[in-house]
Amino acid sequence: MRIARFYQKTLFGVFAMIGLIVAFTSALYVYTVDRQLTGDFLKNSRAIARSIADSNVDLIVHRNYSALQSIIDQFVEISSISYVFVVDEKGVIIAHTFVPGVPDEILADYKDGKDVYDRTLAGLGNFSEVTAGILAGKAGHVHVGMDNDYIALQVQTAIGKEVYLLSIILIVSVLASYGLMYLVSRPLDHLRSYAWHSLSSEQHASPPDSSQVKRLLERTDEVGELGRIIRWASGRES
Amino acid sequence: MEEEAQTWLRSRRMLTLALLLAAALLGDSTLAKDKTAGTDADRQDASQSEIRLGMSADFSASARALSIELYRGAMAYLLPLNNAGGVNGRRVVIKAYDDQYEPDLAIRNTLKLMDEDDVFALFSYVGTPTMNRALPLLQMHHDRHFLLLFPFTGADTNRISPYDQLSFNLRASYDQEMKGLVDHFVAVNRTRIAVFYQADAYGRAGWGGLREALDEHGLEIAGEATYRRGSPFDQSYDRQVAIMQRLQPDAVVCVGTYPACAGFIRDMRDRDVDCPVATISFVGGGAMLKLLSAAEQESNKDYTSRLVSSQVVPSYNDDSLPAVRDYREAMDRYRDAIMPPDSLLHPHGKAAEREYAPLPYGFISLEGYLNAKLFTAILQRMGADPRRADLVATVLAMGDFDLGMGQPLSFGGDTARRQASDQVYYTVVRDGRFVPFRDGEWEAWAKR
Repeated sequence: MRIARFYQKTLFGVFAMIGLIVAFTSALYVYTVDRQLTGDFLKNSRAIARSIADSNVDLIVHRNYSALQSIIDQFVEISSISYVFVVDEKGVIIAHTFVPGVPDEILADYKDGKDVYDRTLAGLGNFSEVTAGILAGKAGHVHVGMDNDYIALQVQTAIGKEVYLLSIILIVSVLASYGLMYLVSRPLDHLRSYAWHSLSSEQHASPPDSSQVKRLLERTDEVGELGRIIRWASGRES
Repeated sequence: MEEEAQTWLRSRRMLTLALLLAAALLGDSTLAKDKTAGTDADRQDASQSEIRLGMSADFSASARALSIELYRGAMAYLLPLNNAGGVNGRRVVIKAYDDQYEPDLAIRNTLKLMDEDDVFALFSYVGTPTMNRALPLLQMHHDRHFLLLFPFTGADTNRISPYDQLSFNLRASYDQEMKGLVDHFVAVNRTRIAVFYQADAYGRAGWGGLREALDEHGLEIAGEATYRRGSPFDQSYDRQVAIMQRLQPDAVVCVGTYPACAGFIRDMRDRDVDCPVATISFVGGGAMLKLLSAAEQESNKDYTSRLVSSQVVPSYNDDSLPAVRDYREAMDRYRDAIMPPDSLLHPHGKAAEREYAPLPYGFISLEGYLNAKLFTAILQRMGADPRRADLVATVLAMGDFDLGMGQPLSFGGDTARRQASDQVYYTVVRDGRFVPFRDGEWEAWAKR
């Protein structure tokens, strides 16, 4: 399936344009999804920390550690939440979800009072830890750790799906453009072949068959008009 | 058009008739249930020949030995009672469901027991995380007067507000067990006490009890290591032991289940961490001892020295106590007849390697026996037509009573006590069995 040289540059231009659209759309999507999903995960974690801090004040103040543990255990069932721990007003961790123990990296700085901790825990991975104060921090803090690797995986999965879809669109567009160009260029090819045969003294390799010539001359568009002019010029019109 | 309209009317009439018929057929049970729920919500039908107790416990997973032994103990009391005609002519039966020590299953079981089985009371639930999730259901159904009687846990959740009004306990609490252990350890100069505990509500309850007990001496927990619920004996506990090696505590308290605690003690001793180890009652001393004794035979090492277990019932070897004598006799007589049904023990079909070998006697089955005995004593006070709504008043009116345990028990009184016993017992392993650890004997563990 050959396309006329006349259209090859146009076709290349179309391909380049589609490629650019796909590339720019993907880049914009990656940027938006990454920001959006990461932001959403952070917001959810903050909401969870806030919810534990606000709705369990009685348990914390009355040292009902068992009930408090039951509550935080339910939150680590959420996929993005890796750990939760609660610190009382004395700075003691009164409930947590770590096995076999609270990592040393956390023990080193959990009392610093930051809003967000970016952590790398040995053997566990990378985490963003958000905090919420209990009774404005007077009764302690709730810390919720999100697995950054999990978030990255979610972002990559979402982006991967989108890029996959755009790639399919790119391939389909290229094939469709090629097909359309071929349809457009085929009569021109016949016209070129007819012109060589009718006007040139050189022997053309493959003379057009009579049915092709008939269809060409019967066309009502510019190609048909050119064909008829060539027939007139070659003096074959009877 | 007219014919079409008539056909449609006929079809509609037929549909209405069919629906009415279906409603009449199905409605009987629904109406009966509604009647129970609405007008007589707190009474099991007086014509019923049995009083049903609802139990949700782990019969097939990591803590199954605890539940099976508790059930066996209770049945050892109820079987002869029912054979003799029950209470006021009504048999006392236990409707049990398996929760695999998983809170979500415990919720489902509790709903089934309350809504479908219409039990008289919930009885001898096993475990803190499961109980913690079941209590809010009782609160939601408070108008139906369901109570949780004698759960196998010493956690605070059903001992303090808001759920203390929904439960009665026979046993002492974990706080009391911890206080006793800490007082004894501190008295022999073992002040750096670490804790190995299950990473859930049960472990946290024990951790909290230890913290409070140490706080009374101006001390803090020396360090901690945790494990996941359901961890088996065969698993390595080296990571937890490594923490203990680093901490070098004077003593370690274990708040777990028997497979994990036995595995942890084995690995501790294998790595030459030889400080005294204490376990609390829920661990299930009998099942733990069985695992450790088998491991000792394999490795030729000593895993059971310097091991103290706190208990909330007296020694099952103490023949001087009438309740213990009766218990041992019943356990001997009904050994096979008191096993839970296979449907509970083997929910996924019977397998030889999953077969449970019951213990002849043990602290847990003794506790089950005493739970059933206490419930029967309460039921006898409620007359021929017991109502759930009268249960609280009946129990609180009991005052001092004797179950033959050689210790005073009481409910009610000025403080409206809802826990009958405050007594904690300490036992150590000698000659392959648990024996009482007397106060004077702690001195042998003094830190020099």
